Amino acid sequence: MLAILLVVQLVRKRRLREDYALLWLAGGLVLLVFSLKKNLLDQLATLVGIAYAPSLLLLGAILLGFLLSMHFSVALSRLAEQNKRLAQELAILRLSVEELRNETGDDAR
Amino acid sequence: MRRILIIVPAYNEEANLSAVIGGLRAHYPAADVLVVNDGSTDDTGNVARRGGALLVDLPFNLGIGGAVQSGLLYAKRNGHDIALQFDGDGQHTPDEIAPLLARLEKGDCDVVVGSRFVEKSAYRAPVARRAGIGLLSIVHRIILRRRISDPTSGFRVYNRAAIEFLADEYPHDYPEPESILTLTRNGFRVVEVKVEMKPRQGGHSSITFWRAIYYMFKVLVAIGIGATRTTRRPPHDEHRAADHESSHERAGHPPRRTTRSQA
Repeated sequence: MLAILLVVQLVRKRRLREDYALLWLAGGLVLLVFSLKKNLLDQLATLVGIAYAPSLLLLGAILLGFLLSMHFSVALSRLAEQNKRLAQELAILRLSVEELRNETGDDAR
Repeated sequence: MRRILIIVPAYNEEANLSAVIGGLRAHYPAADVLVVNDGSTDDTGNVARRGGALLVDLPFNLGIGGAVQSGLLYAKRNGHDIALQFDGDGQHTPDEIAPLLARLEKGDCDVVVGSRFVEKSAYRAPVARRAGIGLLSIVHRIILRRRISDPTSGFRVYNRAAIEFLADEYPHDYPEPESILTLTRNGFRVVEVKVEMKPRQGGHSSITFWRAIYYMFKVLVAIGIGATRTTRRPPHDEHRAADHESSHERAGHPPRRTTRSQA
């Protein structure tokens, strides 16, 4: 558990944006709490009616993974859209530059 | 004089392109011919330049949707009144442009699509493609309650209002069917005119069998979801207001307004 925290802390140094780093940190912290107070997980499991406590942990992990990948898909779609727009603007600008150069007779490339 | 932009999306079309550009420039010397080179790996860009066309050279492949949209964006920025989409593979013939333009000039529609199937035409598409087009046509009929015989046709003219709308919002890689839906749902009037098309003149179609199936599926999903989407405000409200009385009574289907558009 400490290892997870450490890794996240390291990655946070500029390789990961703060919002994501915070998310992973929170996840690591939750795991840490569970491993320090062993009966907490059991209590939580009986509270929601799950007989085998570790499956609650698994459920949480899967849910988190699902939500995260969903979030990434959305983020990726947005980036793709922005990327497309940038490419279009760039190409149109390139044409304008070319036209301007032709007008001014400047054929420097 | 109305300014016309002819948008020729081209992906690896060096074989056909110079003939296409030549034909367009001969028929429509007053129009601007704009080739959108969609990240071709062949000499498409240079062929276009040598042919005397304007060239928008995309840095990488965006797909036909992104390519056409680049052209529309250019038309929007440069104040063209009419944009014509004309495929770079030689399928469309310059002779067929006139009827499309004439239809648009009547002023009771925003988009004119050249259809191969409005009446019997000489065009014979491969069976699989015809089946796909037929299916899409049925889907359009169900959603729009109107007959669109050739929703995949890429031979179209847009007026200024449609240009402005599509420059901001145009579907991705297999956009023709979806764009008809989006346009209609946003209050644009789409009509079809019969055209003849030739089989492609050379080079290769970008659509292979499996891709076609994939696209088909994707388009259906996109259309299905799109049908539930709330429409955005038509960006041409002033235009609407101007010919409010006359136009949509005549067109037979009033532009749909959403609650959001009133706000």
